[in-house]
Amino acid sequence: MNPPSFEKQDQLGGLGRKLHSTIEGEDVRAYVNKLTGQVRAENKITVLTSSTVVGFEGFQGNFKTTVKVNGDTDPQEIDHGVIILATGAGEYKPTEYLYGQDDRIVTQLQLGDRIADKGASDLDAVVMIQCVGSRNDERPNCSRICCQSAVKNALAIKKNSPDTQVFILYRDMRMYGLLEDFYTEARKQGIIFIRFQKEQPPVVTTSEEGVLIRVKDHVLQRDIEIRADLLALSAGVHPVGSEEISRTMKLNTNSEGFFLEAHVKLRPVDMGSEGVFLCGTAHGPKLITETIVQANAAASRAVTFLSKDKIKLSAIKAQVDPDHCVKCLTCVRSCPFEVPQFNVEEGEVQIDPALCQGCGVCACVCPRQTIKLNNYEDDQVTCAIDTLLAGGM
Amino acid sequence: MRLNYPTNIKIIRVPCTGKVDVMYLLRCFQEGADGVYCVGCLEGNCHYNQGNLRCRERVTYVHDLLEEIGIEGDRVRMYNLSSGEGPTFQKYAQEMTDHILALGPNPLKAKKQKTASAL
Repeated sequence: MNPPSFEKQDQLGGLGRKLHSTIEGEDVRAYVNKLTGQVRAENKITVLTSSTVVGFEGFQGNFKTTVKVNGDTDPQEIDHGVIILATGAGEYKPTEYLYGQDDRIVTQLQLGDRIADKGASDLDAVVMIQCVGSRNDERPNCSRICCQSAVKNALAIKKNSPDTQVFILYRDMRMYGLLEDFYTEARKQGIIFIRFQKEQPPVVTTSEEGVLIRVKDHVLQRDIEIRADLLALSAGVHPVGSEEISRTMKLNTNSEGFFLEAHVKLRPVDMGSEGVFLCGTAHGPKLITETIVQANAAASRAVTFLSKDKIKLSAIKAQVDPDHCVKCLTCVRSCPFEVPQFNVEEGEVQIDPALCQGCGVCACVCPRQTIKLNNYEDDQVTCAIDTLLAGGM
Repeated sequence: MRLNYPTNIKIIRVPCTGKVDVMYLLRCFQEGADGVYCVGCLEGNCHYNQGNLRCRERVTYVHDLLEEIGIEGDRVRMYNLSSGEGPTFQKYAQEMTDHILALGPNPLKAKKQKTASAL
């Protein structure tokens, strides 16, 4: 078997390279560097960076992917048994709250960089606005991780400069699991949480003295204005490049562009297509700890498959009845996997059950109806139709 | 999500909409269905390359056949969605039901009943 190959845009590590620490205080970059070092040192792993998938075909145990590396003119073809999809996600680039028009308005990732570079002692007040680019009409889902990244950065500011005032303007705080402890800690440290309604978002204006944020306080029921030196927007997690990959590799995504698992509870890291496994933020927004757990799960599912000598295939296969076949070869032309072959010696069309994917296209196009798809034979389907309609509608 | 869709919809599962034969669609009408719709993957996203496009062609073909024998061709439709779109599935189910309710019952059914009562 060929050594497994990894493909990635420019360097290994993805969004992890942009983070400094987890909310628990662990060093993300050190972990990513250690891990990429191990991957690079392992001679059974080939890492292809700056590469894009241009072609894809095959089925579980026998995939063939064409990859263009570094803009090379001739793409290379890789034969492989399984796929682990970990294309990640990115931070949404806000269009709201004057982002991009003033360099005092940043995203949480940029704020993290700033705290790590310059600290926060030169800041009198910092305001954060939650749910930017998520939980709106266009993207109804919660981005899951922004609440904790806001609290993480707020605590980092307080640690670095206890006199800096921090305000978090939120719609709902979701510090799930044990993260609730950090929320309590943040309130203990004097970070002020102000709730606003979706219909009445904060209004941001800029001036010489700072960024002015006007918001209706939910307790006072009146507008308050906060002057901040820095405004951090908790921009949501958005999929990156999933549209292109889902098109080339025929993989399903949800309406937001995140890849879909085969079953949320029963097959959480398998994808609908056999032999394809999924982990990380390509699947949906999640924390590093959750990503690592999911990545381990995907890896062990992949190994479970790869370690088998034989695989059990589904019984849903097409069969040709050679007695009535007129060898028109319509099935040979229609099959998306080129499975039906004309056997010249025996003079008949044959379908290899090991290769058949059971889509039923051949059974449907066969003009003599000599191909049947097991479990979906014409008799079975018409019987289902008759029975379902027997009681009247 | 616990979404509801109209209970008069009967689902017949096929591995790919490319398996939906013209015969199956016509059989449904013959047996008294008021409308039939096929729900396939998004165009360009078929795991079997063009199963959903084949189905769309067949649906158009059946549409024309129905028109020819004097049944509203729009009783057969094709919808596309991705497997993660439960709410869209519900929306289409409701849309199709409303559409068929507006058209009224399948004329073949009335005829069938009349013949049955005459016997």
